[in-house]
Parts: sequence; C-alpha cells; structure tokens
Amino acid sequence: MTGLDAYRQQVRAWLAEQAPAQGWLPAGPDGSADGSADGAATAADTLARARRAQAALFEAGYTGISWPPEYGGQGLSNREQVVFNQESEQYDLPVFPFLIGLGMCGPTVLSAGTPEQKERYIRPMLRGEEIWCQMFSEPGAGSDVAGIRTRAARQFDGSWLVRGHKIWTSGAQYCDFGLLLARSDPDSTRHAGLTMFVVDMHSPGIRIEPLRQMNGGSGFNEIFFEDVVLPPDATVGEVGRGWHVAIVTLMNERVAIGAGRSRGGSAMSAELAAKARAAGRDGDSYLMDQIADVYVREQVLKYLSEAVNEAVLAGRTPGPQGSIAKLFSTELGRRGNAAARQLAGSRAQAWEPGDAEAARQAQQLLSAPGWSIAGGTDEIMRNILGERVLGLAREPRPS
Amino acid sequence: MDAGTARTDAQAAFRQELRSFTKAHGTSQAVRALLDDPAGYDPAVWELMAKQLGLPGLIVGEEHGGSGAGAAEAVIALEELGAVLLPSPFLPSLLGTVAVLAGGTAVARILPAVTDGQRLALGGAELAGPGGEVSAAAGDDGGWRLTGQVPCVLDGAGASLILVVAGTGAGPALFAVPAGAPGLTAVALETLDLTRREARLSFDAVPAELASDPAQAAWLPRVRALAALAVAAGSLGGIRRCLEMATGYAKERTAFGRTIGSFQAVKHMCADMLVDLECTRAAVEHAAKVADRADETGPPGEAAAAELPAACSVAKAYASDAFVRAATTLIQVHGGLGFTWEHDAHLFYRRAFSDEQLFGDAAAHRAQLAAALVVPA
Repeated sequence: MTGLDAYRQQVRAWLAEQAPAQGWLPAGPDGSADGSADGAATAADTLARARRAQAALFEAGYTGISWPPEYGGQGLSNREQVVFNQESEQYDLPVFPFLIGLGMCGPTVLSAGTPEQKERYIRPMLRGEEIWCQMFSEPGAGSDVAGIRTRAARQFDGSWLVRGHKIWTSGAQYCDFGLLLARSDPDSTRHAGLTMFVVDMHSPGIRIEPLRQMNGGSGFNEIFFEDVVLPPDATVGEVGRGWHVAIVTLMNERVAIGAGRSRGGSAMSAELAAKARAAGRDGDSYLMDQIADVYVREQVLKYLSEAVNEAVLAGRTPGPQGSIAKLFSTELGRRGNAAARQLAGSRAQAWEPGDAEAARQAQQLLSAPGWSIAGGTDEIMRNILGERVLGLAREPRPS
Repeated sequence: MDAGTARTDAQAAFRQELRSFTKAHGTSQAVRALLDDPAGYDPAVWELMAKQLGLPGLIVGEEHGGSGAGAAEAVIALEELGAVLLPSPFLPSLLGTVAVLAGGTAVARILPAVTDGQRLALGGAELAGPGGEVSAAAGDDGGWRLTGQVPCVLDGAGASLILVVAGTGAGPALFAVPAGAPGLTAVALETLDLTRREARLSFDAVPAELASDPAQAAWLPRVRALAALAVAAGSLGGIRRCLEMATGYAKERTAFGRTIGSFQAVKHMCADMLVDLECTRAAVEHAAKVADRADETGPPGEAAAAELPAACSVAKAYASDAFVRAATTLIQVHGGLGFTWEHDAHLFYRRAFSDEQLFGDAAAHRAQLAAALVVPA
C-alpha cells in the first residue's frame, strides 16, 4: 500500500466515524454555491454547527492539508488534499461559512502576507474561530475590477483611512475579517495604484447592509466604509501591487466554485427520472431526452473534476478543466431547470401552499441567472479561456 | 499543440509516434489525393501503419501476433488519426476485431490474419439502428446461411472479411462472411464524408461462420458500446483539430484593424470549442478506462462491464453533438474561406455529420441512457 492509499484509508475511517456523531448528512443534489443556502447560514445555530465541524476538522488535521505546518497547516501536498476532497465529497460537511476564507483569503495571505499576518490569521481561520470574506467588487467595478474607486488614504502616522462602497460580499454580516482591494494612489488609473488590505470587520465606520437577490435570498451584502481606520500593518503585499495579489484570490475563487458545483454526481438526473416515472411520463421522449442530457452533462462534469484530481495525484499539472468547470456547470444548471419545468408544467409557476418541492424548484429557477454572473460572468470566463488558454489577443483598450 | 492525455510513458510515446506518422502521411494533400480514389485509402500507407505502428493488430492479443493493447491505446490512435482525417481501414478493422474478440469463438481463426493487415468490416441492423435486418438460418449441412440487408457498412465493399450481427431463433449472434461469398452483394454508397467508404450489403442465403457463443449474450452490448466509443474517439481528434484551425486563423486574420480573435464574438466561439474539447476528452477517456477495467476478472471487472454501455453512450452522445458544433464553428470563424472547396473545413464538417450517425446518434444514446435511468433501482 502506498502512503497515499494509507492516507485515504485513514481519512475514510475518520469520516465514517465522525459523520454520524456530528450529524453530517450525505450530500444532496444541489451544490452549496447557488447563493440560496448561504442566507440560512446567518442563523446562529447553523453558524455554531459550522464552527464545530471546522474545529473537528482542524483537530483531526484535515484542514489546511497542504498549508505550512508553522501556521497550523499539515504541510502535506495537493495530493493529500485531493484524497480528502474525494473522500469527503459524499458528506454534506456544514462548513460553508469558511469556504471563502479557506478557498480564497487564506491562500492569498499565505502567498502575499507577512510572517506576522500568517501567524496572526491562518490558524484561527483553520480552527473555524474567525470567518473571512472578500471585498473586491463595487457598484462601478464588477467584471472590470480595475474600476475600483474605494479610496485608502495613508495618514501621517502610517495608518489608512478608507472611504467607499463595496458590493456582492458573501457572508459579510457574520465575518470577522475580510480582504479589501482599494485605491491607495488617488492619481492612478486601472490596475496600478491598488492595494490589498486585511480589514477587521468589527472596525468602527463599517456599515453592512444585506442585498436582497431576485431569488429572495440575502447571501450577499453591500458594505459602506465611512472613514474606517486601518493600522499600518493592514496591507497585504506591496502598496500599489494589489492587483497582482487579487489575481491569486480570483483564481482560487473560480476553482472553488467549479469544484463546488461538481458535487452530487448524477443526483439531479436521478431525481428527475424518478419523478418522470412516478408521473407516468417516462414515455415522453422529449422530456426523457432532456433528462438524459442532464445525466450526460453531470457525468462529464464529474469526469472533468476526476481528470484534475488524477493529474494532481499523478504529479502532472492539471489542464484547463478547472476553469472550464464553472462555465460548464452553469449551463448544466440551466438545463436541469429546463427539464424540471418541463416535468412540472403549470406547477412550475403556481403551487399549493406548503409544496416545498415546487418552491425549491422555483428557487433554483430564480437562482440560475446569478450562476452565470457571480464569481466571473460567463463572458469573462470565455475571455479567460480564449486569452490565457488559447492565446487569442485581448480586446484593445481605448487610448 | 494540445499535448493530449497519457497515463503512462508508453502511451505518451505511442501518441508521439502517431503524431510523427500523421505529420508525414496525413497531410491535407495526401488526404485530398484519396477523396476520389475508389478504394479510398493508400495501401502503401496502410502497410506502413501495420509495420511501424502495429495498428491492425493493436488490440489483438500477443498470442495471435498482435500488440495486446487496450481501449486506452485504441482511443489514442483513433483520436490522432481523426485529427488529420487520414483515410485507412483502421476503424472498420478495429470494429471487426472488437466484435471477434467479444464473440470469443473465432479469435484464433480470424485474428492472426488481421495482424497481417487483412481488412475487416462490421455490420448489423442491431448496431446501426433501424432500417435493415439480417437473419441466420441453420442449413442442411449444419452451416449457417444469412439472408437480409444491412443499409451501411464502413469499408463493406473493400474488406476481405465481414462480421455481421444476425438474428437467430435464439437471439442475435455474430457471423463471419468472406468477401465474394456466394449470395453476397456489396453496393458502394455515396458518402457525405469523402474520406470514408461505405456499402450496402445484401445477403441471399450467404454461407457464414458463427463467431459468437449462442449461450452468451454479453458480447453484443459490449460491441455496441465499444463501436460507439471508437467513433467518439475519432470525433475527439476532429474537435481538437477544428479548435486548432479556428484559433490559428483567429490569431492571423485581421479585420477592422485587429486580429479577429480579439473580438469577443469570435473569441467566445473558440472558448466554447475548448469547453467542448475538454468535455469530450474527459468523457472518451473515462469510457476507455472503464472498458479496460471491464477486461479484468473479479468484482471490479464485473462492475466496470456493467457500467460500460452507459459510459460509452455518454461519450458518444457528447462527442457527436460537440463535433457538429465544432465543425460548424470552424467554418463560421473562417468566414468566406470556410465554405470553399479549397479549405479543409468542409472535410471536418463532413466527418462530423458522418460520425454523428454512425453507431447511434446522440439522441439514440440519450434514449438508451434514459431507459436505464427510469429502471427502478
């Protein structure tokens, strides 16, 4: 048995023992990245449950698996991380509030932060004691992050005074810290003159307002910075190099979203097929073609993530499958919704009070437009594939 | 160029050999020289494919003179040949070999000759969908006689031995019929894909040799699945080449003062082709892995054998649709040049719509998957 096989056995045994004790349920058909589940995470008990789960993972050494041991990580490779991901996929680990911290902010602090910042922030993040968010987008800076106008002005004592308006921040209402991208050079334009900061979200002058989405959920927030003072050591990476720091965060985000959506295997098509059979519609060839198409795409998405895992486990560099997964999964979600509507008929638009199934489907339908926008629009994803993978020229900038 | 996947060093080396070979022998000029050729391939190149690459006996066991390779290697070969449209009897012979191996009773009689380059073909209404039927009857001499028709068979007029799926009283069985057998008529068909030769085969009490065990039923789903996978693997190569040609052109061609690939309308078409390429690759390579695992004995092998039809249907359903999209996009990206005879785009367009129909189109494979999905667990 190789070391990796032994590691897999150990992870499997631990999960099998912990899952019933902790009440971790088998994974459901929906990934958690659709922005509907996160609203529920504000409830104190959900948050407490998440902290317990994250603490248990930390105690057992199953978080920060590839992160440096001096900051609380396990110092193992991506291969062990992949093994853990594969083994834990079948459980619905209730750690949603930590995903942005562990998936995006942690890697950013580890790659660009000072030793003091790593010492201060990484371990509490891994233990589930402190929750993180990221604050890049603004009303005037969405796909084009370089349009950022939130201003960070250096004070005579070296501290920073922040004034501005951020938007689309997941979970800001319960976060302890956040990464903030702000304009530190007032005379700069576009990517130059931006700086990355770590912000204590409990600082005076921060006002958080939930943003109600079209699906009724409030997973995202607007954040107003009204003369917030940040200490001199709040900068992450060099002053003026914030854009380069942000790229690390965004690359990690897209991988996290694509991977998150690939969960659940063929659950959506299985559910649709079962309903079609129960409704006596399994002879409806148009409906069944749609359901089978959902099955095909679910399988393909699963194979894509397996191909990435297999490459990592074999020590090869993964191909562009990770970036492709996000784009592909939004299309899969839309097709799943289309099949569900075809099956539901008029019940897709009017349902009996208390029909939770119909309400959930409506929720999926109303969440779908957001899938193609949050975390990089479909168009930005296609630009990335076209420019970074295929090497096509960028759109010329207006001079 | 896309490096392609290789799980082992030997597979990487095999892919490299194929690329060197197709670079030398699969040029556009070489392919075009064969478009009007009645045989449709160059026998000298086929001989080289046998000598240098061992392609005719690729999946034939070493005990019969073959290379003993598996589905993973076959998929690599099909992808690389599909990427250049090099016409050869490889696909029809491979399909015949798959059938003989699955049938199991005529392996030692038929396959040694295949490794020497004897050409096989595979046909049967059971494989190609509706539109034909062949039935087998036991003759007075104890031999079998085939009667009926198969509407289209790849290399059906050129192969020296034809494997036919025909109905017997006890269910479908596999039969081998030599070219020129009494009562066998092969009518060459007009083909959309000019790099392929296909024929309609008519059987009038044609003497045939049984090549499967009537007591075994598992061979037919296996042949169906692997035939679909083989076509999907060729489509994978075609999609790859379509993407390479489209992006290559989008980087060179200028309009309105800039390369057309800098326009998002064009860039996004190329990005969608990349998504289709990687998704097809993931599906085809997964199915090949399942096929190789299905050859193993014991419970893992049995589980893989049970998964094989669905895995191959997923690959064929996705690949067929994706190749059609890629070839259509290839022409669109090339603008006026794209629909000229001189440009190779139409050769890929023709291949894509040929691949789409061979061994079940996407909708047929989705229908099979749907039928499996609604069976109560």
